[in-house]
Amino acid sequence: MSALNRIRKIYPEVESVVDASKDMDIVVEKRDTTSSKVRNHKECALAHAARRIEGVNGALINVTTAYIIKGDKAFRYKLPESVSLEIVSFDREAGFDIGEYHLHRPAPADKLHALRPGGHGKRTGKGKKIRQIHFTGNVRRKGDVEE
Amino acid sequence: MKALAIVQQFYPDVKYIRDATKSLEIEVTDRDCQTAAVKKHRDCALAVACKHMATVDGAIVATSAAYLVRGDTATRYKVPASVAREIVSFDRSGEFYPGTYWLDKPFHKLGAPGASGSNQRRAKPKPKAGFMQLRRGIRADLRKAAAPAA
Repeated sequence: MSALNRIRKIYPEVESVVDASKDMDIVVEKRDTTSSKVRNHKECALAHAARRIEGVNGALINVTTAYIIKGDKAFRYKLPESVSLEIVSFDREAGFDIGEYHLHRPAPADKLHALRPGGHGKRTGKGKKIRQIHFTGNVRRKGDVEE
Repeated sequence: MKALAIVQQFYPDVKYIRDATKSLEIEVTDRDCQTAAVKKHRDCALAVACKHMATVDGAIVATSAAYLVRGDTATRYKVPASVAREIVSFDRSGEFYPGTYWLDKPFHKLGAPGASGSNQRRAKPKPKAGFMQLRRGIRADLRKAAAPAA
């Protein structure tokens, strides 16, 4: 499912998804952490804090990517590691530290429709052993967007 | 504070530090999670799991670096983001998910000049320094951590 389809499940008015061109600062306050819900993209502490910013209609926060809704557009940001750590902590009911956080505009290689390398070579079974990826458990999942 | 001084706070017998040359796979079990202590560099779930390995005498695990002690030598590893998230979660709630984790070989070697040491002329003006979000509710910075009782 594409990013636009996932966003439209919650914000049907969104017409397009674009990469943000500037970084964004969000201040998380105590009230954001108390009124929010764990493992919920739309209602987490960071999403609550983002919605207080003028012009922002909504927000969807993943572990590494955030979509900020302004009118009929969803702006895509990348979350730095410091924010991802807080989100994992929050989803496991261990709290979200209040303070100022910074969302990054996606790097050129991270942009929507950017070409990604790999996957063209023939597998011979003689190369480097494929490393098992660890998936962080008990947190929100990319596909599980609740309406 | 230098890496050796940091490690000697926890393991005074260590005399040498070296960078890992290979990544290391570590299996964290339920038992490791139950016997571990929060906000303790030497006794967190990952450190307990490391100490199960036959050749490891001790381990120090921070949010960005880990040191495995074998005899008088400590080997430095880089802690990847997926592990750092588990560490923060563990320090705040005592929850560390059992599973297979990796410690990486460091990208920046000990003694190598940092990224800021370049004498290349800058094409663009230096951007304004950003603020740093400090994480609370987790173990102390290794450079400031008080030496624990042995």
